[in-house]
Amino acid sequence: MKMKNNKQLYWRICQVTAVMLMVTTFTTVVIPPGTFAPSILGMPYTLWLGILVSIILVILTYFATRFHPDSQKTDSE
Amino acid sequence: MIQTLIIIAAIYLASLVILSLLTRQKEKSTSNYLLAGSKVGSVLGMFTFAATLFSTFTLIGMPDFFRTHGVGSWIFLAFSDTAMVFLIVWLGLYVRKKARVNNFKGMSGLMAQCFQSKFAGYVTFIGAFIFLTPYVSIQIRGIAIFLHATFPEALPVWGWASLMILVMLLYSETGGLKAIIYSDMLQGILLLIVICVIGYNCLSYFGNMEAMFEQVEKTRSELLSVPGPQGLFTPQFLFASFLAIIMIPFTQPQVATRIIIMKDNNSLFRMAIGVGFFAIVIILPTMLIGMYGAVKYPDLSTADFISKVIIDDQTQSIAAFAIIGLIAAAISTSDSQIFALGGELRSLLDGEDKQMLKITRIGIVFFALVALVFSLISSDQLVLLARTSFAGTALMAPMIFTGIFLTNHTGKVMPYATALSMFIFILSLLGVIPSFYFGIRLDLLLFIFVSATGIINALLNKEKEPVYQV
Repeated sequence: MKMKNNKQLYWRICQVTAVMLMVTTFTTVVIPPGTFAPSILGMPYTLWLGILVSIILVILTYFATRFHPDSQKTDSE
Repeated sequence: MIQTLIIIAAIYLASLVILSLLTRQKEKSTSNYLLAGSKVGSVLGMFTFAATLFSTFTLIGMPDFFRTHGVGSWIFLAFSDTAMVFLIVWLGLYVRKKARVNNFKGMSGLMAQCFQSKFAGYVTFIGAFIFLTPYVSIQIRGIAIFLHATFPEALPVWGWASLMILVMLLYSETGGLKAIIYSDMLQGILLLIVICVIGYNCLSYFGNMEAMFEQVEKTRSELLSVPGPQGLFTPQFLFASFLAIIMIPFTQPQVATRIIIMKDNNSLFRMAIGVGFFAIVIILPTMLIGMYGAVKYPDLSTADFISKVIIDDQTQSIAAFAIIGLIAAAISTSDSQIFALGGELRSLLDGEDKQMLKITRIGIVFFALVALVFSLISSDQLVLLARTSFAGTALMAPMIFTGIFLTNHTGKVMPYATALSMFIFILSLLGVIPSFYFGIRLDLLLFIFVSATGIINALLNKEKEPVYQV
């Protein structure tokens, strides 16, 4: 029961984190107009941060599949 | 190069023939012909999903978008795609469950069942037809123009376009969705390898990433930030595009079908993660190609720029692979879209399966011909036309979600609201009415309107009907 509750909690955390990441991306935190510093490996700010956010989202998707309430269920359940 | 190209083209065509013959069924039914038996594993699923999603639009459109509008292109597509895969995990199981309960044949039929109204099915079908046809056409047109520019003596634009349509019709009509899925795998791998090699070569031209961006800064520093040199990437444009793109798995039938035909839930999950990685890996090189173009060919047309970067600046064998990769990219997306329109038609037909399937196959040929005609008259704005397609089909998302998440029909409010929104959107595309109101894009306003209608509808029906449970 406790494990099920934990799974539900982690699933919610994944959902909230993903939504927050998505919303933040459309603010000046990720897309400040006319700004390309600080850069990493020469990459301008919006690009490297955009890549980072995308990678985090894919990793989050992986965890979401682990904690999804129906991840262990078969289709017929 | 011609000799190498002919050899690779022959191998490619032979592979398509073999795949279509291997997957050919003697007894065709809706289940095995249109839905590939619904037993697709995660690896095959990832490649077919990716090849359907990433098309000419990725290989030609995105480098050109990076070259013209700058690094905001990453947020426009790559970020939106990774958000989309999260949504597949979040909502995909609900879609699969509803599809299974209602004996899924196509999204139009599913909506007709969910709303207990044929009108809902017609709205879905017409929406898919209107907004997918231009998308199919631009794939074909993009490659036909490119091939004509590269080999001006060989065939006219309509000749290349007709040839591609013929190839895709031949193997998809023979082997059905299974043939398309296997050829998607072949095309997806080819596309990925070609784009990575060209991207690497573009980066090598500068030596490293730092040197590349230094050059870009000297040439056109506006490319290194939003909104880009032409001011396209405003937060509003990016957000509206984001909404349109993340809805693709539920609103574009060729993609929705791929969620439904996965073997089981875990295969779907693994497929989603794979597509997320695939998106990053494939869009990164398009950025490199775009930045290379921004420095070397800032003023060339799209076709000339692509021709230079993937043919003139590459070794002969890579250039030959790239040309086949481009054709494969266009074909893998277009065949899925045309085939999906056939599936949508089938889902609205009632009658003996064999007879209905015959009508569907004739329908597929008809859709292909419409796409061919449209490809000869459409605009060259590859990415923006694709975005219009995404935005148009995204207007169906609230109706589709209402249909999926509410247990019983919720009246005809949603189908009517969706039809009205699509009609208004089309009027704006035709220039009859403005596309901005109070400084807000019309597609965004319409999406908000249909979503609000869906939410109010759901709340009003809440007491009568419990929310759908998986």
